[in-house]
Formats: sequence, structure tokens, C-alpha cells
Amino acid sequence: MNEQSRLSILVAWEIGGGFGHLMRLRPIVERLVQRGHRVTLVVRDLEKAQEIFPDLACLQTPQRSGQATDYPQVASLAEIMYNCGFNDQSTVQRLCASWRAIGELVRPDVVIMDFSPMALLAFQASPVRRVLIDNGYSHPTMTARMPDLRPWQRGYADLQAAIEDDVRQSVNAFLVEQGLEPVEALSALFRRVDSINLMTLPELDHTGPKTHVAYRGYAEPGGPPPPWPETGARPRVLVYLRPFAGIGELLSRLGGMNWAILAIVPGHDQQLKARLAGVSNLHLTEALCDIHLAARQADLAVCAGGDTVGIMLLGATPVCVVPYHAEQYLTAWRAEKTGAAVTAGNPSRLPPRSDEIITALNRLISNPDHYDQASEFAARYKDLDPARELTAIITEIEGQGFPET
Amino acid sequence: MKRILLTWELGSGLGHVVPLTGFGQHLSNALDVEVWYCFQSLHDQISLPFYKRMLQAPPVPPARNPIGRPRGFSDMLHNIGFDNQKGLNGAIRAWRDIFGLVRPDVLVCEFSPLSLLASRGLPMARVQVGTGWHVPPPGAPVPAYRHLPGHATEQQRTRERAMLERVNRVLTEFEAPTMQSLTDFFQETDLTALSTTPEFDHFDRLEPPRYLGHAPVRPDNPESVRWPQGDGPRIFAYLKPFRGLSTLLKQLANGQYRVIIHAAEQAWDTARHFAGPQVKVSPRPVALDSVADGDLVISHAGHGLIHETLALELPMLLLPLHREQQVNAGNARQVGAALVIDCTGPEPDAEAFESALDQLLGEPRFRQAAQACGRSHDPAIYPGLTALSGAIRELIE
Repeated sequence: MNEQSRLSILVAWEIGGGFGHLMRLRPIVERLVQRGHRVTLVVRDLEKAQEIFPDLACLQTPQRSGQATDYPQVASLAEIMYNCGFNDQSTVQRLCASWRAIGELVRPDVVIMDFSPMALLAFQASPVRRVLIDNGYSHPTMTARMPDLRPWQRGYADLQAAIEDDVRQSVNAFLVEQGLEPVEALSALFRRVDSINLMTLPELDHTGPKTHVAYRGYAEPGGPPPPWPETGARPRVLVYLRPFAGIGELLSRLGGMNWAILAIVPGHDQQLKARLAGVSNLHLTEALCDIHLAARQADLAVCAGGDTVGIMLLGATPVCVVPYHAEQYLTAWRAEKTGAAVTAGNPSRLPPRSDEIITALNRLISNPDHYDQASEFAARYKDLDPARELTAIITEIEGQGFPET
Repeated sequence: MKRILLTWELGSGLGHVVPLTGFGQHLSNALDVEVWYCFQSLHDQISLPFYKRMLQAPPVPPARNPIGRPRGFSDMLHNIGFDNQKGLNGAIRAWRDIFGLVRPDVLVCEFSPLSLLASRGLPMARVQVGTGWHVPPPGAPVPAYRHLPGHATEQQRTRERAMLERVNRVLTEFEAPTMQSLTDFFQETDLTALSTTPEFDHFDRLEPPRYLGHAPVRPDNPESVRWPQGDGPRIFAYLKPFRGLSTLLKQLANGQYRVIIHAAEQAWDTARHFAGPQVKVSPRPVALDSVADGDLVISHAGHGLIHETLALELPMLLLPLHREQQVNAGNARQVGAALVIDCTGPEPDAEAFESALDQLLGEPRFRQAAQACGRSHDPAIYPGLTALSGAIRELIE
């Protein structure tokens, strides 16, 4: 590819926490760089982005001034947007102007957006290719009202509608100012793009299967083989959790069973390490491994409600989901419907206690249906090839006229 | 077209953004340049046209072991990531990424130590603006602020040496010149122009920088007020929440005064209960012109309001709430125009307020001192913008 045909690509990530967004962007960004494109990241968490992308320019996303969160218990994407500044037209104008200032410097041919509604709005009038890399939480159904992100609890329809109308008004004020057609429904904004890629599967889409998107499964970041404890014990149980109040108690109790346990707990402290030091059938580590391979090798998994749930099911491994917050609880809620997963705890108090996790785990292993359903799930997607999906995403990003990947 | 990048990283309120955007506007008008901004807060008081070239500044990295009660400038550096190698490296990298995109010919820093450090060794002119609080004089250990305890402890010296080592590691990583002392990067700029006067600098300096006088900071849409009727002394008070607020308000309400209060932030919740025939209370900023014929101003010793008060030739009762305000208050006391009741520690008692008010209103020396230095603080004669843009024109050329 010669210099002239290289693209300037702006990758935006505005909302969310942890490494999940960056990890799913990583293979895409790496492939784009390999193909000679110039990639600039504009991210919510600069420190983490610098760690994942040590050789790329990383900027901070424009952020609403002040820390107030109007609706902490969000029940729709409209409320999330409200909290991020869409509640106020002048804030939308300011943040969009700042996004476009970044655009003036980067001069992107393509803007890739991961959970980035303000960037999505800001670049509506720009001559760029717009590509979404999202999941079902950050990308709505194309319905008159935004889908419910807390379907397990009674909604407050009137207030939710009013919030959504406020957000839609702010969006439309900006669109009209830019000489663009307003949207009749807020969800329509998310269709004004060139390509929509959801890094999930229809069964695990937070807001239900959609027909207007491409489901790409889960990124495959690779990594070393999983370091299972060398005891030969079965079942093999993969625990992949962040530290929480009950993690020590949970792992101690699991270690007391005659199972082979690989516990990946990024950020765990020395106290936990010391507590589990003598447990020969449990290997505690912070290091990430090839999680897709671990899914195929494990008999059971205990993990939070991120992408790992789907990766486990693709490996035919039933899952005990330990949600830390409402978004993960929604994943768990969907995963349970596949018949291959159980959820620990309840949404009014997250994350669950260790005894609730043990109870859920017992429920999982006592019913062979969970294994059957996990196998069926994996069989349904036996032809899903992450490498092929990555290639398809790259083709979507580059558009027409580029050599095959 | 040449590019100028204005950065602001630390501090809060309008005292930073209003002068800096005003300066940016002036540069755009006076020179053939493109002005970019990179601010820590995308403030709703900044008007929309500025956002067309406005970037979000990288977050200041957290300290690994924060100093709870910072004593001096080097403690402040410690608390913004200079004790955290990974955080410091990340911040420098983030600023260099911004410089890589903006490619400024001139960098203008207002309380932006990390952006200033990150620019070291890069081909751009460097300018520092702001008050003296942000710009330490040379020296190791870093010299103390005026009016604050200044004895450098061995612990401070050790901390400064460790910070210097960290800074030099990151400079080496980015192939920039290393430093001999922790604050070299503040000294090695092309221009340091402070928006203050020598007597209101926060440091004593052997080599004075360029003093520009006071940069006016006027809030949008202030309220014009009229004094309550009567013949008591006229007091304007700008108050924020602090221990002793109710005691002071009681004193003001029960004395034979005519009082106008701008109660900011949560002070309004308390102050509104003291409103009455002799006490007007407003949550909105008050137009200072409308209280110019007063007898006394009470404030928390913000740098800007002190200058504005001196321009009105009024004496002051100053109630500093933090260290920067302690220095401002000390300077105002030193010129003889103010009494100070420190509100950073235990709650002041009613006698302290009563005695201070009696002195300030009863003894002409305070007003005379305010009159003596007031004329040089008139914001109408602020030469800063023209002087600064002239200096930057020379740097560009």
C-alpha cells in the first residue's frame, strides 16, 4: 500500500471502564497499523490506552465539566447519554465542537466508535466513514423508544420518555444546526453510520437480537496457554474475576474442593496470594492467558458478565456469572436464557456474596442440562472464525478499493 | 500560519479560563496566528467559538503517596504525579501526543507544569503566564512561598531529589535534556510574564520576571446592587462556606452596618437566613462598580478580588481558606490595606471578627494604604495583553 492510499483513522472510546473496550479494539487497531494506516486514539482512560497501545498517539476524550451524574441507576442508553452531557444543548455544542477540533487536527478518513455517542453526533456532518464497534448495551434496537437496560425491574416509563425526549432534542438541535435532518427516534442516530459491528452474539446481545447489525463474536487477543494447576483433578474450573470483598472467601472454598482451579484475578493483593499459598489445586495469577483456549479446556467457568461469558459458551463451557454491576447483570440475564449459565446474586446488591456464588455454582453443576445447552451453543457457532470476522471488520473500516486483508 | 497553544492544567474557577481565553482572543486579533487551547475543564463559561480549537487536557496523574497538607511548591509537584514514575511518564507522553498533533510554534502555559515539562527539548517557544503562585524561582530545595513556613526539612530535600530523578528518567526516555534541579524547567522558558505586581507576587525573587499588573476577571452578567438604607458603614462581602461563616454573618447582621453579601456555592444556604433590612444577600456575582462607594470589602483573599478591591481603594478583611489565599492575604496585610483572620484552622470566634471590623472601619490607615497602592491596580490600565502579544510576536518572528 503506498503512502497516498493510507488512511487516517480516529478511534474513539467515550463511555465505560476497565480494559474490555480497549481489548476488543486492540486486534482491530493492530491490524490497521499493520496495513499501514495512521491510527489516533481518543479515549476515556488514557493510562490504560497507553498501556495497550504503547506506540500510538492517545488523546483524552472531551468531557463534560463537573462530575455530577444525574441518573446513577441508568435504565436506558438515553439516560447514559443524559449523564454524559446530552441533557443540555450548550454542552452538546461544546463537546461536539471539541470533537471536531480533534477532527481538524487528525483529519480522519474513518472514525471508529466504541460506545461514543458524542463523537457519533459530532462527526455526522463530516465527510468521514463512520464505523461502530459496539455491543448490545451501547447500541440500541431500532425502536421508537430506547430499549430497557433493567428489564428485571419495574420501569418508570413517563420519566424515561421525558429524559429520552430531552436527549433527542439536544441531538436534533445540533443536527439541524449542521444542516442535517433531525431524527424522529433517538435510536435512529445510531443508524446514521456506514457500518455497525457488534462484538457479541445475538443470544447474548443485551437488548435482544437485531437485524440491522453484523454480529462479530468476540475478539481473540491471544496470549500464553492457560496455566492450569498440575494436579490432574477434574473438573477444571476457570475463575476470571476482579478483586471484590468476597474473593478470598470464594477462592478458599473452591480450593477446598477436589477440583483444578485456575483463578485469574487481575489486581489482586498480597493478602489473597498469602491466603491461597498452600492450595495445590488452585493456581492464582494476574496474568491474562489465551482465554479462548481456556474456554475450550475448562469444564466450568466463574466469571463476571463481560465478553468472557460468550467466549466460555463458544468453548462449550457452562458459566456461573458473577455480575459486578447492572450491565453485567443484563449479560447474565441473557446468558441464563440460553440454558447454559446461572447468575449469582440479585441486582439489588452487586457484586454477590461468596455464599451466593457457591450456591449458584452448585446449581450449575447439579444440572447436566447446562452442559448440554453449552454444547449446543458452541455447536451453533462452530463455523464462527474470529480471524475471518476481524478481516470482515477491517474491510468495513477501509471501505471499497483496498487490497484484500 | 503559526500556531499558538494555550494550556491550563491546575486550579479551578474562572480566574484561569477568563484571562486565558481573553488572551487567546487578543492574540487571534493582533497576530496572524491560529490559537489552540487545551484546558483541564471544558468550562460552560467559555463561549462556544473557543471550542472550535479546544482540546481536553490529559488528566493529572495521581500521587502514589499524596501529601495531605502540602507545604510548598515541591509538595504540589509531588501531588500531581511527580512521585509516580508511571503516571509522570504517561502524562508527558500524553502531552507530547498533543504537541505532535497541534505542532505549536509557541506554547503558553498557565498553571500547567506537566505540559511545560513535556515540551522540554521540543522545537517551540515557551511562555509562562498567570500569577506568581504557579512559577517558582530557582533553587534547591525549592524556595518557600511568602508568609508561609519556609524551613526545608531533610524529608523535603529527599523528596525533591527523588522527584528530580524521576523527571530525569522520563526526560531521558523522551530524549529531552535532563535537569540539574527540580524547577529548571520553569526557569528555562522564553518568557515569564506574571499577571500581578511585585508586592503581590507569591515568591521573593532575586531575578524579577516581567510583571504585567492585574488581569481583570469579570464574571458574566453580574448583579448591580444598591446599599441598604441608613447611615451605617457599607460592607461588601464575598463569602464561600467556611467554619465561622455563621459567626461572621451574625456579627454583620447584628452590627450597625449596611451589608451586601454575594454568598457563593453552599454559603447561600446559610447566608440567606441572615437577609434583612440591613443585609442584602445574593447567590449571584455582584457588580463591583455598584459597591465602589463602600467602606470595606470582606473576601477570602482571592488574588483577583484583592486587586479589584485595591483598584476601588477600599480596605479589606481577608479570610483565607487555603494556602494560596494565605499568601495573598499576607501580601495585602503587608501593604497595610488589610487585616487577616486565618480560616484554614480552628473556627474563629466572634471577638476576632468584631475587633477586626472595628479596626478596619475605625482606623483611617487601612483606607489610606489601599488608596496609596490602589491606582496601580486599576484593571482599566492593565497593559498585559498588548505587552504579551508584542512579546509573542517577537518570539514568532
